[in-house]
Amino acid sequence: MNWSYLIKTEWLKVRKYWAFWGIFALVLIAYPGISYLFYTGYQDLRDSNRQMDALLKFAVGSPFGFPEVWHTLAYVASYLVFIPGVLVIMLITNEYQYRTQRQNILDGWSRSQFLWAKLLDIAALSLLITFVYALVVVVTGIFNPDIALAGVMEKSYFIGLFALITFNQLTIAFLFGFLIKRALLALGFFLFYYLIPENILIQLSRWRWHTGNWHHYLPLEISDRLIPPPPYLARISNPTDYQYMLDAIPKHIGLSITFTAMIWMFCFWWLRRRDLT
Amino acid sequence: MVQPELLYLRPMSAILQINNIRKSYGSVVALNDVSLSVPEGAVYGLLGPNGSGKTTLLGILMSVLLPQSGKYRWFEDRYGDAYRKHIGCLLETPNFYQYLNGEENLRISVSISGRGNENDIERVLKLVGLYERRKHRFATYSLGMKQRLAIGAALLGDPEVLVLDEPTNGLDPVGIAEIRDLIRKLNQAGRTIVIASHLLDEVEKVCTHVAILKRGNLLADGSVSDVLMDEDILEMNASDSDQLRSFLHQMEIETVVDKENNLICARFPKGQARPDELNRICMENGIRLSHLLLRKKKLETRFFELTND
Repeated sequence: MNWSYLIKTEWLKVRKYWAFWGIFALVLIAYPGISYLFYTGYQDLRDSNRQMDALLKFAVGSPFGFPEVWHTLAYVASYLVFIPGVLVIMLITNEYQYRTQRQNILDGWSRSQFLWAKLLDIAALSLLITFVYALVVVVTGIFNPDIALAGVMEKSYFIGLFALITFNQLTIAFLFGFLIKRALLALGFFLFYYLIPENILIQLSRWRWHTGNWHHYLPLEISDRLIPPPPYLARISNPTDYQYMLDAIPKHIGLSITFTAMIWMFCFWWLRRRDLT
Repeated sequence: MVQPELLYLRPMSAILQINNIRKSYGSVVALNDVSLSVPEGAVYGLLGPNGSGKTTLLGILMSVLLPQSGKYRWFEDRYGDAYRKHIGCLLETPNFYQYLNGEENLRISVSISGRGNENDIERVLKLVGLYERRKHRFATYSLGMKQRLAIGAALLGDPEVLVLDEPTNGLDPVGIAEIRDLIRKLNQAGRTIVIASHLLDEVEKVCTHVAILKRGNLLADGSVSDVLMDEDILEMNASDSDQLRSFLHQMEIETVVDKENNLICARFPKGQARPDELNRICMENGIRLSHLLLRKKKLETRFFELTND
Protein backbone atom coordinates (compact mmCIF):
# COMPACT_ATOMS: atom_id res chain seq x y z
CA MET A 1 0.00 0.00 0.00
CA ASN A 2 1.43 3.35 -1.06
CA TRP A 3 0.47 5.59 1.87
CA SER A 4 1.93 8.81 0.49
CA TYR A 5 -0.14 8.42 -2.67
CA LEU A 6 -3.32 8.10 -0.60
CA ILE A 7 -2.38 10.99 1.69
CA LYS A 8 -1.53 13.24 -1.26
CA THR A 9 -4.92 12.59 -2.88
CA GLU A 10 -6.78 13.21 0.37
CA TRP A 11 -4.85 16.43 0.80
CA LEU A 12 -5.94 17.54 -2.69
CA LYS A 13 -9.53 16.92 -1.64
CA VAL A 14 -9.44 19.00 1.55
CA ARG A 15 -6.84 21.61 0.66
CA LYS A 16 -9.42 24.11 -0.56
CA TYR A 17 -12.41 22.85 1.37
CA TRP A 18 -13.12 25.99 3.38
CA ALA A 19 -16.01 24.54 5.42
CA PHE A 20 -13.60 21.85 6.60
CA TRP A 21 -10.93 24.38 7.58
CA GLY A 22 -13.55 26.54 9.31
CA ILE A 23 -14.52 23.69 11.62
CA PHE A 24 -10.87 22.72 11.96
CA ALA A 25 -10.19 26.25 13.21
CA LEU A 26 -12.95 25.73 15.78
CA VAL A 27 -11.19 22.56 16.89
CA LEU A 28 -7.93 24.45 17.25
CA ILE A 29 -9.64 27.13 19.31
CA ALA A 30 -11.77 24.74 21.37
CA TYR A 31 -8.90 22.74 22.91
CA PRO A 32 -6.87 25.65 24.28
CA GLY A 33 -10.15 27.49 24.97
CA ILE A 34 -11.64 24.90 27.30
CA SER A 35 -8.27 24.40 28.99
CA TYR A 36 -7.98 28.13 29.56
CA LEU A 37 -11.52 28.24 30.92
CA PHE A 38 -10.81 25.56 33.51
CA TYR A 39 -7.41 27.02 34.32
CA THR A 40 -8.69 30.55 34.92
CA GLY A 41 -11.68 29.22 36.87
CA TYR A 42 -9.33 27.34 39.14
CA GLN A 43 -6.96 30.31 39.52
CA ASP A 44 -9.84 32.70 40.24
CA LEU A 45 -11.06 30.36 42.95
CA ARG A 46 -7.60 30.20 44.46
CA ASP A 47 -7.15 33.95 44.24
CA SER A 48 -10.52 34.66 45.87
CA ASN A 49 -9.08 34.34 49.39
CA ARG A 50 -6.16 32.87 51.19
CA GLN A 51 -8.18 30.16 52.95
CA MET A 52 -9.58 28.88 49.68
CA ASP A 53 -6.09 28.88 48.21
CA ALA A 54 -4.80 26.78 51.06
CA LEU A 55 -7.83 24.47 50.93
CA LEU A 56 -7.51 23.90 47.19
CA LYS A 57 -3.80 23.31 47.46
CA PHE A 58 -4.46 20.70 50.13
CA ALA A 59 -7.43 19.03 48.45
CA VAL A 60 -6.59 19.34 44.78
CA GLY A 61 -2.84 19.79 44.63
CA SER A 62 -1.59 21.45 41.49
CA PRO A 63 -3.80 20.21 38.65
CA PHE A 64 -2.34 22.65 36.11
CA GLY A 65 1.26 22.14 37.11
CA PHE A 66 3.52 19.38 35.88
CA PRO A 67 3.08 16.48 35.88
CA GLU A 68 -0.63 16.54 36.81
CA VAL A 69 -1.49 18.91 33.96
CA TRP A 70 -1.04 16.04 31.45
CA HIS A 71 -3.86 14.19 33.16
CA THR A 72 -6.07 17.21 33.86
CA LEU A 73 -6.10 18.51 30.30
CA ALA A 74 -6.34 15.07 28.71
CA TYR A 75 -9.48 14.51 30.78
CA VAL A 76 -10.96 17.92 29.92
CA ALA A 77 -10.05 17.70 26.22
CA SER A 78 -11.43 14.17 25.88
CA TYR A 79 -14.91 15.69 26.19
CA LEU A 80 -14.38 17.62 22.95
CA VAL A 81 -13.87 14.73 20.54
CA PHE A 82 -17.33 15.35 19.11
CA ILE A 83 -16.06 18.56 17.43
CA PRO A 84 -13.49 16.84 15.18
CA GLY A 85 -16.12 14.10 14.92
CA VAL A 86 -18.14 16.60 12.88
CA LEU A 87 -15.17 16.97 10.52
CA VAL A 88 -14.86 13.22 10.09
CA ILE A 89 -18.56 12.88 9.31
CA MET A 90 -18.28 15.72 6.77
CA LEU A 91 -15.34 14.02 5.07
CA ILE A 92 -17.12 10.73 4.52
CA THR A 93 -20.67 11.93 3.84
CA ASN A 94 -19.38 14.41 1.24
CA GLU A 95 -18.03 11.50 -0.73
CA TYR A 96 -21.51 9.99 -0.79
CA GLN A 97 -23.30 13.27 -1.41
CA TYR A 98 -21.16 14.17 -4.43
CA ARG A 99 -20.84 10.49 -5.46
CA THR A 100 -17.09 11.02 -5.52
CA GLN A 101 -16.54 7.79 -3.62
CA ARG A 102 -17.85 6.04 -6.72
CA GLN A 103 -15.74 8.28 -8.95
CA ASN A 104 -12.61 7.50 -6.92
CA ILE A 105 -13.21 3.82 -7.64
CA LEU A 106 -13.89 4.53 -11.34
CA ASP A 107 -10.65 6.48 -11.48
CA GLY A 108 -8.73 3.48 -10.24
CA TRP A 109 -8.76 3.15 -6.47
CA SER A 110 -9.85 -0.15 -5.01
CA ARG A 111 -12.53 -0.05 -2.34
CA SER A 112 -9.87 -0.89 0.23
CA GLN A 113 -7.72 2.01 -0.92
CA PHE A 114 -10.67 4.34 -0.51
CA LEU A 115 -11.13 3.20 3.10
CA TRP A 116 -7.41 3.25 3.86
CA ALA A 117 -7.39 6.86 2.69
CA LYS A 118 -10.17 7.68 5.14
CA LEU A 119 -8.43 5.79 7.92
CA LEU A 120 -5.32 7.86 7.26
CA ASP A 121 -7.43 11.05 7.38
CA ILE A 122 -8.66 10.08 10.82
CA ALA A 123 -5.21 9.04 11.99
CA ALA A 124 -3.77 12.36 10.79
CA LEU A 125 -6.58 14.32 12.45
CA SER A 126 -6.07 12.39 15.70
CA LEU A 127 -2.34 13.15 15.62
CA LEU A 128 -2.94 16.83 14.93
CA ILE A 129 -5.41 17.09 17.81
CA THR A 130 -3.02 15.21 20.06
CA PHE A 131 -0.31 17.66 19.07
CA VAL A 132 -2.60 20.57 19.96
CA TYR A 133 -3.37 18.93 23.31
CA ALA A 134 0.33 18.42 24.04
CA LEU A 135 1.09 22.01 23.08
CA VAL A 136 -1.66 23.33 25.35
CA VAL A 137 -0.35 21.14 28.20
CA VAL A 138 3.19 22.43 27.77
CA VAL A 139 2.09 26.07 27.59
CA THR A 140 -0.28 25.70 30.59
CA GLY A 141 2.35 23.84 32.60
CA ILE A 142 5.01 26.44 31.92
CA PHE A 143 2.86 29.49 32.61
CA ASN A 144 1.30 28.00 35.71
CA PRO A 145 2.53 29.75 38.89
CA ASP A 146 3.13 26.36 40.57
CA ILE A 147 5.67 25.49 37.92
CA ALA A 148 7.92 22.64 38.91
CA LEU A 149 10.05 21.24 36.16
CA ALA A 150 10.87 18.12 38.08
CA GLY A 151 8.74 15.32 36.71
CA VAL A 152 7.63 17.32 33.68
CA MET A 153 7.30 14.19 31.59
CA GLU A 154 6.16 11.94 34.41
CA LYS A 155 2.59 11.63 33.18
CA SER A 156 3.27 12.30 29.52
CA TYR A 157 1.94 8.82 28.74
CA PHE A 158 -1.40 10.63 28.63
CA ILE A 159 -0.32 11.78 25.13
CA GLY A 160 -0.65 8.20 23.92
CA LEU A 161 -3.89 7.64 25.81
CA PHE A 162 -5.33 10.86 24.44
CA ALA A 163 -4.34 9.91 20.88
CA LEU A 164 -5.99 6.53 21.30
CA ILE A 165 -9.24 7.88 22.75
CA THR A 166 -9.38 10.44 19.93
CA PHE A 167 -8.73 7.90 17.19
CA ASN A 168 -11.22 5.48 18.71
CA GLN A 169 -14.04 8.00 19.03
CA LEU A 170 -13.37 9.57 15.62
CA THR A 171 -13.61 6.07 14.19
CA ILE A 172 -17.04 5.77 15.80
CA ALA A 173 -17.99 9.11 14.22
CA PHE A 174 -16.76 7.74 10.88
CA LEU A 175 -18.93 4.67 11.30
CA PHE A 176 -22.00 6.85 11.71
CA GLY A 177 -21.19 8.76 8.49
CA PHE A 178 -20.19 5.59 6.66
CA LEU A 179 -23.44 3.77 7.38
CA ILE A 180 -25.94 6.65 7.41
CA LYS A 181 -24.39 8.45 4.40
CA ARG A 182 -26.39 11.66 4.82
CA ALA A 183 -24.48 14.41 6.54
CA LEU A 184 -27.18 15.92 8.72
CA LEU A 185 -28.68 12.61 9.78
CA ALA A 186 -25.27 11.16 10.58
CA LEU A 187 -24.28 14.26 12.54
CA GLY A 188 -27.56 14.24 14.42
CA PHE A 189 -27.33 10.56 15.36
CA PHE A 190 -23.67 10.82 16.31
CA LEU A 191 -24.10 13.88 18.51
CA PHE A 192 -27.23 12.42 20.07
CA TYR A 193 -25.48 9.15 20.86
CA TYR A 194 -22.33 10.94 22.02
CA LEU A 195 -24.21 13.15 24.46
CA ILE A 196 -27.28 11.26 25.62
CA PRO A 197 -28.11 7.53 25.46
CA GLU A 198 -24.75 6.11 26.49
CA ASN A 199 -24.39 8.58 29.35
CA ILE A 200 -27.88 7.78 30.58
CA LEU A 201 -27.23 4.04 30.41
CA ILE A 202 -23.99 4.42 32.34
CA GLN A 203 -25.59 6.48 35.07
CA LEU A 204 -28.58 4.15 35.35
CA SER A 205 -26.33 1.11 35.49
CA ARG A 206 -24.07 2.68 38.12
CA TRP A 207 -26.52 4.35 40.41
CA ARG A 208 -29.91 2.73 39.94
CA TRP A 209 -29.79 -0.71 38.40
CA HIS A 210 -26.54 -1.86 40.01
CA THR A 211 -26.20 -4.41 37.26
CA GLY A 212 -22.45 -4.97 37.23
CA ASN A 213 -19.84 -3.55 34.91
CA TRP A 214 -21.38 -4.10 31.50
CA HIS A 215 -21.55 -0.35 30.96
CA HIS A 216 -17.73 -0.25 30.92
CA TYR A 217 -17.92 -1.90 27.52
CA LEU A 218 -20.27 0.51 25.78
CA PRO A 219 -18.75 1.89 22.54
CA LEU A 220 -17.60 5.26 23.85
CA GLU A 221 -17.06 4.16 27.45
CA ILE A 222 -14.50 1.58 26.34
CA SER A 223 -12.12 4.39 25.43
CA ASP A 224 -13.47 6.98 27.90
CA ARG A 225 -12.01 4.75 30.61
CA LEU A 226 -8.53 5.28 29.17
CA ILE A 227 -8.50 8.68 30.88
CA PRO A 228 -10.21 8.49 34.26
CA PRO A 229 -10.96 11.70 36.13
CA PRO A 230 -7.87 13.26 37.74
CA PRO A 231 -7.23 12.06 41.31
CA TYR A 232 -8.50 15.24 42.96
CA LEU A 233 -11.88 14.80 41.25
CA ALA A 234 -11.90 11.12 42.06
CA ARG A 235 -11.62 11.85 45.78
CA ILE A 236 -15.26 12.82 45.61
CA SER A 237 -16.17 9.30 44.56
CA ASN A 238 -15.36 5.93 46.08
CA PRO A 239 -11.54 5.43 46.32
CA THR A 240 -11.90 1.70 45.66
CA ASP A 241 -13.77 2.43 42.45
CA TYR A 242 -11.09 4.88 41.43
CA GLN A 243 -8.29 2.41 41.99
CA TYR A 244 -10.26 -0.09 39.94
CA MET A 245 -10.45 2.47 37.11
CA LEU A 246 -6.72 3.08 37.20
CA ASP A 247 -5.95 -0.63 37.24
CA ALA A 248 -8.27 -1.19 34.32
CA ILE A 249 -6.48 1.28 32.00
CA PRO A 250 -4.19 -1.36 30.40
CA LYS A 251 -7.23 -3.57 29.80
CA HIS A 252 -9.06 -0.67 28.17
CA ILE A 253 -6.07 0.09 25.96
CA GLY A 254 -6.38 -3.43 24.59
CA LEU A 255 -10.16 -3.17 24.35
CA SER A 256 -10.02 0.19 22.57
CA ILE A 257 -7.50 -1.03 20.01
CA THR A 258 -9.52 -4.20 19.44
CA PHE A 259 -12.81 -2.33 19.18
CA THR A 260 -11.36 0.25 16.77
CA ALA A 261 -9.82 -2.49 14.66
CA MET A 262 -13.17 -4.32 14.61
CA ILE A 263 -14.97 -1.21 13.37
CA TRP A 264 -12.49 -0.78 10.54
CA MET A 265 -12.60 -4.45 9.65
CA PHE A 266 -16.37 -4.22 9.53
CA CYS A 267 -16.16 -1.16 7.21
CA PHE A 268 -13.77 -2.96 4.85
CA TRP A 269 -15.98 -6.03 4.86
CA TRP A 270 -19.13 -3.97 4.33
CA LEU A 271 -17.74 -1.92 1.46
CA ARG A 272 -16.43 -4.98 -0.36
CA ARG A 273 -19.94 -6.37 -0.48
CA ARG A 274 -21.92 -3.29 -1.44
CA ASP A 275 -22.88 -1.75 -4.74
CA LEU A 276 -21.62 1.82 -4.94
CA THR A 277 -24.69 3.71 -6.06
CA MET B 1 5.72 -11.26 -53.40
CA VAL B 2 3.12 -11.40 -50.69
CA GLN B 3 4.04 -13.71 -47.85
CA PRO B 4 1.37 -16.41 -47.48
CA GLU B 5 0.78 -15.64 -43.78
CA LEU B 6 -0.07 -12.04 -44.64
CA LEU B 7 -3.00 -13.26 -46.69
CA TYR B 8 -4.75 -14.12 -43.47
CA LEU B 9 -6.28 -11.40 -41.38
CA ARG B 10 -5.02 -11.57 -37.83
CA PRO B 11 -8.05 -11.95 -35.56
CA MET B 12 -8.54 -8.95 -33.28
CA SER B 13 -7.95 -9.84 -29.64
CA ALA B 14 -10.73 -9.07 -27.15
CA ILE B 15 -9.86 -6.18 -24.87
CA LEU B 16 -12.94 -7.05 -22.83
CA GLN B 17 -14.49 -10.45 -22.43
CA ILE B 18 -17.79 -10.79 -20.59
CA ASN B 19 -19.16 -14.20 -19.64
CA ASN B 20 -22.65 -14.80 -18.27
CA ILE B 21 -22.96 -11.68 -16.17
CA ARG B 22 -26.10 -11.76 -14.08
CA LYS B 23 -27.43 -9.07 -11.80
CA SER B 24 -30.80 -8.67 -10.17
CA TYR B 25 -32.40 -6.23 -7.77
CA GLY B 26 -34.90 -8.25 -5.80
CA SER B 27 -37.19 -9.88 -8.33
CA VAL B 28 -36.10 -7.57 -11.15
CA VAL B 29 -33.45 -9.09 -13.36
CA ALA B 30 -31.22 -6.25 -14.53
CA LEU B 31 -28.83 -8.44 -16.51
CA ASN B 32 -29.60 -11.96 -17.56
CA ASP B 33 -26.47 -13.97 -18.31
CA VAL B 34 -24.99 -11.42 -20.66
CA SER B 35 -21.93 -12.51 -22.60
CA LEU B 36 -20.10 -10.51 -25.19
CA SER B 37 -16.69 -9.60 -26.37
CA VAL B 38 -15.26 -6.20 -27.27
CA PRO B 39 -12.46 -6.38 -29.83
CA GLU B 40 -9.41 -4.19 -29.38
CA GLY B 41 -9.73 -0.98 -31.37
CA ALA B 42 -13.52 -1.16 -31.67
CA VAL B 43 -16.07 1.52 -30.99
CA TYR B 44 -18.60 -0.63 -29.22
CA GLY B 45 -22.09 0.75 -28.81
CA LEU B 46 -24.34 -0.55 -26.05
CA LEU B 47 -27.92 0.15 -27.02
CA GLY B 48 -31.17 -0.41 -25.26
CA PRO B 49 -34.26 1.35 -24.00
CA ASN B 50 -34.35 2.81 -20.50
CA GLY B 51 -33.94 0.08 -17.92
CA SER B 52 -32.36 -2.33 -20.36
CA GLY B 53 -29.28 -2.76 -18.18
CA LYS B 54 -26.68 -0.71 -20.11
CA THR B 55 -25.53 1.35 -17.13
CA THR B 56 -25.72 -1.64 -14.81
CA LEU B 57 -23.45 -3.55 -17.15
CA LEU B 58 -20.96 -0.69 -17.33
CA GLY B 59 -21.14 -0.30 -13.53
CA ILE B 60 -20.23 -3.95 -13.11
CA LEU B 61 -17.43 -3.71 -15.66
CA MET B 62 -16.01 -0.77 -13.70
CA SER B 63 -16.36 -2.52 -10.32
CA VAL B 64 -18.83 -0.12 -8.75
CA LEU B 65 -21.58 -2.73 -8.93
CA LEU B 66 -21.19 -6.37 -8.02
CA PRO B 67 -22.64 -9.11 -10.25
CA GLN B 68 -24.53 -12.05 -8.79
CA SER B 69 -22.66 -14.36 -11.10
CA GLY B 70 -20.53 -14.35 -14.20
CA LYS B 71 -17.11 -12.99 -14.95
CA TYR B 72 -15.43 -10.33 -17.00
CA ARG B 73 -11.88 -9.79 -18.00
CA TRP B 74 -10.24 -6.56 -19.15
CA PHE B 75 -6.97 -6.41 -21.09
CA GLU B 76 -6.64 -10.21 -20.84
CA ASP B 77 -5.85 -9.65 -17.13
CA ARG B 78 -2.68 -7.77 -18.02
CA TYR B 79 -3.20 -5.19 -15.27
CA GLY B 80 -5.00 -7.30 -12.66
CA ASP B 81 -7.15 -5.27 -10.26
CA ALA B 82 -5.55 -2.02 -11.42
CA TYR B 83 -7.26 -2.25 -14.82
CA ARG B 84 -9.44 0.80 -14.13
CA LYS B 85 -6.37 3.01 -14.14
CA HIS B 86 -6.08 2.24 -17.86
CA ILE B 87 -9.69 3.13 -18.61
CA GLY B 88 -11.09 6.63 -18.92
CA CYS B 89 -14.64 6.41 -17.65
CA LEU B 90 -17.74 8.55 -17.55
CA LEU B 91 -20.53 6.65 -15.85
CA GLU B 92 -23.98 8.23 -15.52
CA THR B 93 -23.59 11.70 -14.00
CA PRO B 94 -20.35 13.67 -13.69
CA ASN B 95 -19.14 13.22 -10.10
CA PHE B 96 -16.79 15.88 -8.80
CA TYR B 97 -16.09 17.84 -5.63
CA GLN B 98 -18.47 20.78 -5.76
CA TYR B 99 -16.23 23.13 -3.79
CA LEU B 100 -13.21 22.63 -6.07
CA ASN B 101 -12.72 24.12 -9.51
CA GLY B 102 -12.42 22.16 -12.73
CA GLU B 103 -8.64 22.09 -12.70
CA GLU B 104 -8.43 20.97 -9.06
CA ASN B 105 -10.93 18.19 -9.69
CA LEU B 106 -8.88 16.91 -12.61
CA ARG B 107 -5.80 17.00 -10.39
CA ILE B 108 -7.54 14.51 -8.07
CA SER B 109 -8.36 12.27 -11.03
CA VAL B 110 -4.70 12.37 -12.09
CA SER B 111 -3.56 11.60 -8.56
CA ILE B 112 -5.83 8.56 -8.25
CA SER B 113 -5.48 7.11 -11.73
CA GLY B 114 -1.84 7.97 -12.28
CA ARG B 115 -2.86 8.98 -15.81
CA GLY B 116 -1.74 12.37 -17.06
CA ASN B 117 0.08 15.30 -15.50
CA GLU B 118 -0.25 19.10 -15.24
CA ASN B 119 0.30 19.55 -18.98
CA ASP B 120 -2.29 16.95 -19.70
CA ILE B 121 -4.83 18.71 -17.47
CA GLU B 122 -4.33 21.85 -19.56
CA ARG B 123 -4.61 19.83 -22.78
CA VAL B 124 -7.91 18.17 -21.89
CA LEU B 125 -9.39 21.38 -20.51
CA LYS B 126 -8.70 23.02 -23.87
CA LEU B 127 -9.97 19.98 -25.74
CA VAL B 128 -13.34 20.04 -23.98
CA GLY B 129 -13.60 23.82 -24.11
CA LEU B 130 -13.32 24.49 -20.38
CA TYR B 131 -9.91 26.10 -20.20
CA GLU B 132 -11.34 29.58 -19.66
CA ARG B 133 -13.55 28.28 -16.83
CA ARG B 134 -10.92 26.08 -15.24
CA LYS B 135 -10.66 28.28 -12.12
CA HIS B 136 -14.41 28.32 -11.53
CA ARG B 137 -15.97 26.09 -8.91
CA PHE B 138 -17.56 22.92 -10.25
CA ALA B 139 -20.81 23.85 -8.48
CA THR B 140 -21.16 26.85 -10.80
CA TYR B 141 -20.90 24.79 -14.02
CA SER B 142 -23.91 24.15 -16.26
CA LEU B 143 -24.93 20.54 -16.97
CA GLY B 144 -23.14 20.66 -20.32
CA MET B 145 -19.96 21.98 -18.72
CA LYS B 146 -20.08 19.29 -16.05
CA GLN B 147 -20.42 16.71 -18.77
CA ARG B 148 -17.47 18.22 -20.64
CA LEU B 149 -15.34 18.11 -17.51
CA ALA B 150 -16.23 14.45 -17.00
CA ILE B 151 -15.25 13.70 -20.59
CA GLY B 152 -12.02 15.64 -20.01
CA ALA B 153 -11.31 13.56 -16.90
CA ALA B 154 -11.87 10.39 -18.92
CA LEU B 155 -9.39 11.58 -21.55
CA LEU B 156 -6.59 12.31 -19.06
CA GLY B 157 -3.41 10.47 -19.89
CA ASP B 158 -4.79 9.20 -23.19
CA PRO B 159 -6.10 5.88 -21.81
CA GLU B 160 -6.18 2.70 -23.86
CA VAL B 161 -9.92 2.35 -23.37
CA LEU B 162 -12.77 4.79 -22.87
CA VAL B 163 -16.05 3.79 -21.27
CA LEU B 164 -18.65 6.45 -21.90
CA ASP B 165 -22.18 6.24 -20.61
CA GLU B 166 -24.43 8.70 -22.46
CA PRO B 167 -21.50 11.04 -23.15
CA THR B 168 -23.65 13.54 -25.04
CA ASN B 169 -26.10 14.10 -22.16
CA GLY B 170 -26.64 17.79 -21.62
CA LEU B 171 -24.60 18.83 -24.66
CA ASP B 172 -25.89 21.11 -27.38
CA PRO B 173 -25.82 19.98 -31.05
CA VAL B 174 -22.36 21.47 -31.55
CA GLY B 175 -21.12 19.66 -28.45
CA ILE B 176 -22.64 16.40 -29.67
CA ALA B 177 -20.90 16.76 -33.03
CA GLU B 178 -17.62 17.54 -31.26
CA ILE B 179 -17.88 14.41 -29.14
CA ARG B 180 -18.66 12.37 -32.24
CA ASP B 181 -15.55 13.72 -33.97
CA LEU B 182 -13.49 13.15 -30.86
CA ILE B 183 -14.60 9.53 -30.65
CA ARG B 184 -13.71 9.01 -34.31
CA LYS B 185 -10.28 10.55 -33.84
CA LEU B 186 -9.58 8.50 -30.73
CA ASN B 187 -10.66 5.36 -32.52
CA GLN B 188 -8.44 6.20 -35.47
CA ALA B 189 -5.60 6.55 -32.99
CA GLY B 190 -6.25 2.97 -31.93
CA ARG B 191 -8.25 3.52 -28.77
CA THR B 192 -11.08 1.18 -27.86
CA ILE B 193 -14.31 2.91 -26.90
CA VAL B 194 -17.34 1.38 -25.21
CA ILE B 195 -20.26 3.75 -25.44
CA ALA B 196 -23.81 3.47 -24.12
CA SER B 197 -26.26 5.82 -25.73
CA HIS B 198 -29.87 6.47 -26.58
CA LEU B 199 -28.90 8.42 -29.66
CA LEU B 200 -29.07 5.75 -32.32
CA ASP B 201 -28.03 8.09 -35.12
CA GLU B 202 -24.91 9.03 -33.20
CA VAL B 203 -24.06 5.44 -32.45
CA GLU B 204 -24.59 4.43 -36.05
CA LYS B 205 -22.24 7.18 -37.18
CA VAL B 206 -19.35 6.19 -34.94
CA CYS B 207 -19.68 2.56 -33.85
CA THR B 208 -17.99 -0.42 -35.42
CA HIS B 209 -19.79 -2.88 -33.16
CA VAL B 210 -23.05 -2.85 -31.25
CA ALA B 211 -24.89 -4.85 -28.62
CA ILE B 212 -28.60 -4.41 -28.13
CA LEU B 213 -30.02 -5.02 -24.68
CA LYS B 214 -33.58 -5.20 -23.52
CA ARG B 215 -34.69 -5.81 -19.93
CA GLY B 216 -31.30 -7.31 -19.18
CA ASN B 217 -31.27 -9.67 -22.13
CA LEU B 218 -28.76 -9.41 -24.92
CA LEU B 219 -30.77 -9.44 -28.13
CA ALA B 220 -27.98 -9.02 -30.64
CA ASP B 221 -24.30 -8.22 -30.75
CA GLY B 222 -21.49 -8.09 -33.25
CA SER B 223 -20.21 -5.78 -35.93
CA VAL B 224 -22.65 -3.08 -36.99
CA SER B 225 -23.13 -4.61 -40.42
CA ASP B 226 -23.79 -8.04 -38.91
CA VAL B 227 -26.39 -6.73 -36.51
CA LEU B 228 -28.10 -4.43 -39.01
CA MET B 229 -28.14 -6.71 -41.98
CA ASP B 230 -30.32 -9.49 -40.72
CA GLU B 231 -31.74 -9.79 -44.23
CA ASP B 232 -31.06 -8.36 -47.69
CA ILE B 233 -33.55 -5.93 -49.14
CA LEU B 234 -33.46 -4.92 -52.76
CA GLU B 235 -35.26 -1.71 -53.59
CA MET B 236 -36.67 -1.95 -57.09
CA ASN B 237 -38.92 -0.16 -59.51
CA ALA B 238 -39.91 -0.44 -63.15
CA SER B 239 -42.08 1.45 -65.60
CA ASP B 240 -44.76 -1.17 -64.97
CA SER B 241 -44.52 -1.82 -61.29
CA ASP B 242 -47.52 -4.22 -61.25
CA GLN B 243 -45.79 -6.38 -63.81
CA LEU B 244 -42.61 -6.35 -61.76
CA ARG B 245 -44.44 -7.29 -58.60
CA SER B 246 -46.33 -10.16 -60.20
CA PHE B 247 -43.09 -11.41 -61.80
CA LEU B 248 -41.34 -11.40 -58.41
CA HIS B 249 -44.35 -13.18 -56.95
CA GLN B 250 -44.07 -15.86 -59.64
CA MET B 251 -40.42 -16.28 -58.68
CA GLU B 252 -41.57 -16.73 -55.03
CA ILE B 253 -39.65 -13.66 -53.88
CA GLU B 254 -41.28 -11.95 -50.93
CA THR B 255 -42.06 -8.29 -51.61
CA VAL B 256 -43.23 -5.28 -49.65
CA VAL B 257 -44.43 -2.04 -51.19
CA ASP B 258 -42.78 1.13 -49.89
CA LYS B 259 -45.65 3.46 -50.68
CA GLU B 260 -43.87 6.53 -49.41
CA ASN B 261 -41.06 6.20 -51.93
CA ASN B 262 -43.08 4.29 -54.51
CA LEU B 263 -40.71 1.33 -54.42
CA ILE B 264 -41.01 -2.42 -54.34
CA CYS B 265 -38.79 -4.02 -51.74
CA ALA B 266 -37.74 -7.61 -52.35
CA ARG B 267 -36.56 -9.49 -49.26
CA PHE B 268 -33.93 -12.20 -49.34
CA PRO B 269 -32.20 -14.17 -46.64
CA LYS B 270 -29.05 -12.41 -45.43
CA GLY B 271 -26.27 -12.51 -48.01
CA GLN B 272 -28.39 -14.08 -50.75
CA ALA B 273 -29.55 -11.09 -52.79
CA ARG B 274 -27.91 -10.90 -56.24
CA PRO B 275 -28.84 -7.54 -57.77
CA ASP B 276 -26.98 -8.16 -61.04
CA GLU B 277 -28.55 -11.58 -61.47
CA LEU B 278 -32.04 -10.26 -60.75
CA ASN B 279 -31.54 -7.41 -63.20
CA ARG B 280 -30.51 -9.87 -65.90
CA ILE B 281 -33.54 -12.12 -65.31
CA CYS B 282 -35.89 -9.13 -65.37
CA MET B 283 -34.38 -7.94 -68.65
CA GLU B 284 -34.79 -11.41 -70.12
CA ASN B 285 -38.45 -11.28 -69.13
CA GLY B 286 -39.03 -7.88 -70.68
CA ILE B 287 -38.97 -5.90 -67.47
CA ARG B 288 -36.72 -2.85 -67.54
CA LEU B 289 -35.79 -1.77 -64.03
CA SER B 290 -35.67 1.94 -63.37
CA HIS B 291 -34.29 1.54 -59.84
CA LEU B 292 -32.28 -1.20 -58.17
CA LEU B 293 -30.50 -0.76 -54.87
CA LEU B 294 -29.36 -3.00 -52.02
CA ARG B 295 -30.83 -1.21 -49.04
CA LYS B 296 -28.93 -0.90 -45.80
CA LYS B 297 -31.23 -1.05 -42.82
CA LYS B 298 -31.08 1.91 -40.47
CA LEU B 299 -29.89 1.10 -36.96
CA GLU B 300 -33.02 2.73 -35.65
CA THR B 301 -35.21 0.36 -37.67
CA ARG B 302 -33.28 -2.66 -36.51
CA PHE B 303 -33.33 -1.41 -32.93
CA PHE B 304 -37.08 -1.10 -32.93
CA GLU B 305 -37.51 -4.45 -34.64
CA LEU B 306 -35.50 -6.08 -31.91
CA THR B 307 -36.79 -4.19 -28.93
CA ASN B 308 -40.50 -3.95 -29.73
CA ASP B 309 -42.59 -6.68 -28.16
